[in-house]
Amino acid sequence: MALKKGWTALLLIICIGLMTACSSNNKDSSPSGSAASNDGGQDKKIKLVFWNTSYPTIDENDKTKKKEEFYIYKAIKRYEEAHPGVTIDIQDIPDGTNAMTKFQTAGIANNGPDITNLWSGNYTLDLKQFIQPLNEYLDQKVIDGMTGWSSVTENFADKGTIYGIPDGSDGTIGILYNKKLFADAGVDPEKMPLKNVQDFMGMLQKIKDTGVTPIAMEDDGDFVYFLDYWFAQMVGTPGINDIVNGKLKFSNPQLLEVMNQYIQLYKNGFVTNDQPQTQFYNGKVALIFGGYGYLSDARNALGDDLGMMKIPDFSESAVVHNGGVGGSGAGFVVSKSSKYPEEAVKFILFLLSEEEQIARFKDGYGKLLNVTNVEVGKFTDDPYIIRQQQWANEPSTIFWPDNIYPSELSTYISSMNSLVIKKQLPAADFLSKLDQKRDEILAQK
Amino acid sequence: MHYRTKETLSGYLSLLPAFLALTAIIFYPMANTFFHSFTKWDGATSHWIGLRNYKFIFTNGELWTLLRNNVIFLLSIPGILLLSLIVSVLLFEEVRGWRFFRSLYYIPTILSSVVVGLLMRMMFAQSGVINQFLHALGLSDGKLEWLSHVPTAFLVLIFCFYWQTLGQGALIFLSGLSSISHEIFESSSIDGANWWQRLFHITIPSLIPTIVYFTVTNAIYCFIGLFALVYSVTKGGPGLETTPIDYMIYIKAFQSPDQLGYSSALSIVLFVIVLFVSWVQLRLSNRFQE
Amino acid sequence: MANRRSFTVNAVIYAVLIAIAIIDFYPIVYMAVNSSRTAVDFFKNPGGLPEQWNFDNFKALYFRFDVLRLFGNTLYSAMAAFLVTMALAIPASFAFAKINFKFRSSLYMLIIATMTIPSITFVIPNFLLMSRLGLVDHLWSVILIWSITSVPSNIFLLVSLMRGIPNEILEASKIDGIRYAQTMTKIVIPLSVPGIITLAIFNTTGWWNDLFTPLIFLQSDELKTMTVAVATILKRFDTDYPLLLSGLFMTSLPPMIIYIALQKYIKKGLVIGSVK
Repeated sequence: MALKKGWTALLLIICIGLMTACSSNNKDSSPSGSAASNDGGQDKKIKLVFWNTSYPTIDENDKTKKKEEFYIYKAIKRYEEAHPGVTIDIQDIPDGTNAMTKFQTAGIANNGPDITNLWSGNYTLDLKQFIQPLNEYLDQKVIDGMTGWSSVTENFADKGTIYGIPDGSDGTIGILYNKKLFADAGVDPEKMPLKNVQDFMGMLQKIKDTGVTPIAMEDDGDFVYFLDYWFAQMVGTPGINDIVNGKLKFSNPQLLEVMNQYIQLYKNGFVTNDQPQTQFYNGKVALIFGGYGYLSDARNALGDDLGMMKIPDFSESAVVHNGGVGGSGAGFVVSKSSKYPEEAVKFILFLLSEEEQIARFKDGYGKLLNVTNVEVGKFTDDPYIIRQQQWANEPSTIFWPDNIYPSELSTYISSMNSLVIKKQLPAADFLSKLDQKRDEILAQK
Repeated sequence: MHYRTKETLSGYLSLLPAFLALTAIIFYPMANTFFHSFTKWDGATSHWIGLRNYKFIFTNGELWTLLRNNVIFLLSIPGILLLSLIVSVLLFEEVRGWRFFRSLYYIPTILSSVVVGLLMRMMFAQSGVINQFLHALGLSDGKLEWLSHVPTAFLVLIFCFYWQTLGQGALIFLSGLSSISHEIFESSSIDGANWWQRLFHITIPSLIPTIVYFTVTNAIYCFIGLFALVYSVTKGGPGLETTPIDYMIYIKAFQSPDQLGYSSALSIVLFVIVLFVSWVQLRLSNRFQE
Repeated sequence: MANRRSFTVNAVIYAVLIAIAIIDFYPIVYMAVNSSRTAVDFFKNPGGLPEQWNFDNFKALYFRFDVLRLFGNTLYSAMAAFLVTMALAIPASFAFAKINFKFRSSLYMLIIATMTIPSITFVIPNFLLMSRLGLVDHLWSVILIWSITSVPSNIFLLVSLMRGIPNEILEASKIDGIRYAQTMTKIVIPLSVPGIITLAIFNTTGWWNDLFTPLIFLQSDELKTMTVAVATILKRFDTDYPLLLSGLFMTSLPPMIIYIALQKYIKKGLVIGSVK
């Protein structure tokens, strides 16, 4: 009996230990700030949790820069001073697909951040069960003052349920090139514009003949920057929508022709897939695909040798000419679990106000402004930045097709494309695999 | 009788806290996953769709690629087994400084798979140090894209796996060797048995329990422990060519909206496979030991 | 034995051992050396030595992270998790090793079989469970998951260890009428101390290296573990290889130091499970 008693005591101690440990933690404030659960309080304290996926907090060029010196921390400080009682709790989380993973799990637990930044389009809309619709918090005036709303609106429509607030603009993806290496090869696309893929190939061949690898792309073959543009310009935005809805197949003669030429770039040895930006900034390759996001780094690295042009049209029969992909590729969202959606929207609108967008632009943030009627020319004298802003407003700029595909399909295309470019999957098989995946996603809806 | 009941009771009570905890964190979630494998589940709401998830898994053709990838890792186990054996036998010769080597060999084992993965990813990059080295030796043109092609991407992954496992294996076999009595070795060398004969007739047979342990634990690892390594080295690519099943479960659960039911079903499939493999291995090793 | 080996045999043995030592240790040297370079310097010659030793990457990590806090979080969670694991595993292992009762071996097999369940299988249900308990984004969610999922492997090792406790000592204690708790605290635990230290090292280095659990369960910056913080921030800067390497190196240091300081216990632990 004595044995049992001692045993029970031990068990009790363990259990109590566990219980107290759990419950004492339980009493801590929940992440979304339960301090102000009674709204009657006069001086109510509001804590907004902000998952930062986009503002830089490490400067690769100045590694001794402290956290507080970064733009976003300063902006938050300004906001907190102007709004006593509101504190913003900023937390760094990874960007891109990892941000969506994290947002999804938090959403399942009803524990999402008040504010975060996600890729727009279907990357956001696929998570809409965890996102607060924002229509009631947005004035028409606010909406009119910014561009890019369709990227965060149900069905990409002009009117409808709004799930986010478009965050700046990526400009238009074009080609950044090294003028010196181009001149060495005797090519000048500014004087002799490239009319189609054959012209493009001819130019690349000349560069390759000088012993320089012409192009550097990411491991997935720059599918979202480059291949998608040729896809989209051949079928047009309505065509992309038809592909998503299953009305048009990926396996069609036009896209197959695009794929064949695209693979030809690799067959001809025009491309390396190793550290594209680093290679380009160090003068090892002649060009990369990119938009405003890489412009300031490229300018710092290459100075006056930097050139910029649009991706050449695939062929004269394209539906869209002289364009590129781009637009508002990301947007701010408010979690459904947020206790203060109105305050969260206020803070987002502060970050996206004209003054703050200008401030972060001057700080070197990787996005252009999406405020209507503001000329970037006032804040910069870099002609390429001005040109990026002009391009972004041209109707030939096609909204990111990977944001239009279901997000799972986009992930799948990138991973399969890395097989295609290394000649381990024939183009026709690639396209029919995409059709199969698309059909499976539709069937599971 | 009284004594026995008391003993039985204290036995069960000793197990109770552990079982309660495991029920909450492992058994219940397993049941939960099993249930949700028959549903369409977005994390918040689920509805019953019967066997549709399983139907997709077995018909969309991905499962065979995933399984093949796991099996490739499985087939790499004899290699690391042999390597660990050789290293431990060499260390067992106790040349001067063998303790130093033994300590050094274990260091990769204690590093995080994520660290190892990212590190190797850099070293095996096209302009990375491995290519630079091979080029300097004149063995290649220095432009090999290790991670973009299927056979070499697997080579890199298996290299990481070996790199992390060798120290552990060598240490395990070394302690196995020390439990063999020295007299056996002495007498056999007097009999004129050479080094190889001793290896195959004395050393290896007496290490069989250790070999079984090593093989079984690593085989299970090949099915359930590769996620972190693959995630940081190849991200499962190119395509799905290096994606093992547990990585696909992660993709479906966390990187595809609305697919938690599918990923639950895939989890169940993986569980059944691991159970089967463990069972086969134990049967085989029992037979072998006899 | 040593005197009977010829010079050539010795040379061959050394050659193999040294070759493997280089393959084993070079990547770690590579990591350490290259974290002290600038990105451009590294790009020019990834296999070479720095043109100039440059510790800016470590400075960046220091300025960006509250390093002490991250270490503290990880240490606190690992220690708490270890206490919980042991509280659960020691009585259970003792029962499996030394107490006779019905279904003992089948219950043992059940526990051991859970080691073959892929942990990814129960992440989502556990996430929901923790969120219902209000523990998501608290260190205790990670502590509970870590500790409980480690119970089976700890039982596995402790049982083989405790089987070695001589029955006579335990019989004597039964005759003396010493209570269960005392048997535990006076006999079983003291005799298992070396094994427990070994398990502490295995468990804590494993947890230190775990990315997945804390990545999913913790959200706030001030709660992150070292591994998560480094992985999170550096993912956004993965073009700056030296910066990434310095983060990797920093996360790898503590396990390496623990290993070097306590290596004799590690050897012991590996042996427990493998030799019958």
